Amino acid sequence: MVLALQKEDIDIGALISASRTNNDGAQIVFIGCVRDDGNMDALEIEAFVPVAEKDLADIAAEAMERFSLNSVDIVHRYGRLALGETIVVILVGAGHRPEAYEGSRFIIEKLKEKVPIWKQELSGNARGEWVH
Amino acid sequence: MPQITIRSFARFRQLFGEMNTVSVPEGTSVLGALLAFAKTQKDGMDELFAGGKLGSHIILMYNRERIDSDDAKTIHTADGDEIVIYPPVSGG
Repeated sequence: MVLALQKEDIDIGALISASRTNNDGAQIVFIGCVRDDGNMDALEIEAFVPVAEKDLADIAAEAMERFSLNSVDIVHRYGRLALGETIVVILVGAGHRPEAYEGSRFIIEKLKEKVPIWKQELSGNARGEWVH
Repeated sequence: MPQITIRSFARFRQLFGEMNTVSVPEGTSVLGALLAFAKTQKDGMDELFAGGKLGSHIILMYNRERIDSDDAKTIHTADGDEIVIYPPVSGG
C-alpha cells in the first residue's frame, strides 16, 4: 500500500505492478490531472502534509473495510504543476469490479471533502483564484 | 502570558503568513485566541469573523485535531498550543 504526498511525478505503471495480486479480479486507476480552465497555465498545490498523510491512511482503511478491497494506493502531488500534469492517482484492487469502482469513487470523494490540500490557479508569475 | 501558535494555510496563509504567535491570558479559549490574533492582522476580523462569530467557512485544528466552532468556545489554550486555520479544501 502506497499512501503519499510528493512533488515528483507518479509512476503509475510501477504502482499497478506492485499492488496487483492473484486475488484481484479488477484494478481501477483514477487519475486527476490539471485542466485548463482558462487564464491559467499551471496550478500551485498546497498541502498540510502530515495531516494529509494521516487522512489518506484513514480514508484508505475505511475504503478497504467498506468495499472489501484487496489494496488501496493513493499518491497526491503538491507544488507547481503544469497543464495536463497528474495531480493524484488512486489505485484500488478488488476481487470484482463493482467494489473496485465503488471504492475508488468513495476515496476520491472523501479526499476532496476532507484532506487539507488546496489548489490555486497560476498564470505566469501571477497568482489567481483558489479553486473550490 | 501563554504563547499560542496560529498556523494558516492557502488563502489565509497568503493574507496572514504561515506562522504567527499570539499572547493571551491563561485559560483563554481557542476562540478567544483567534479573536486576539484576528485583531493583530490587517483584515483579520473581516476575514475570520462575521458579526462577532467565527466564519462558517473556516476549518479549525487544535493541536492537530479538527474541532468545530462550538469546541473553540470551550477548549482552553495553554502555552505552546497550536491552532491551525484553513479554508475549505480542494484536493484531487
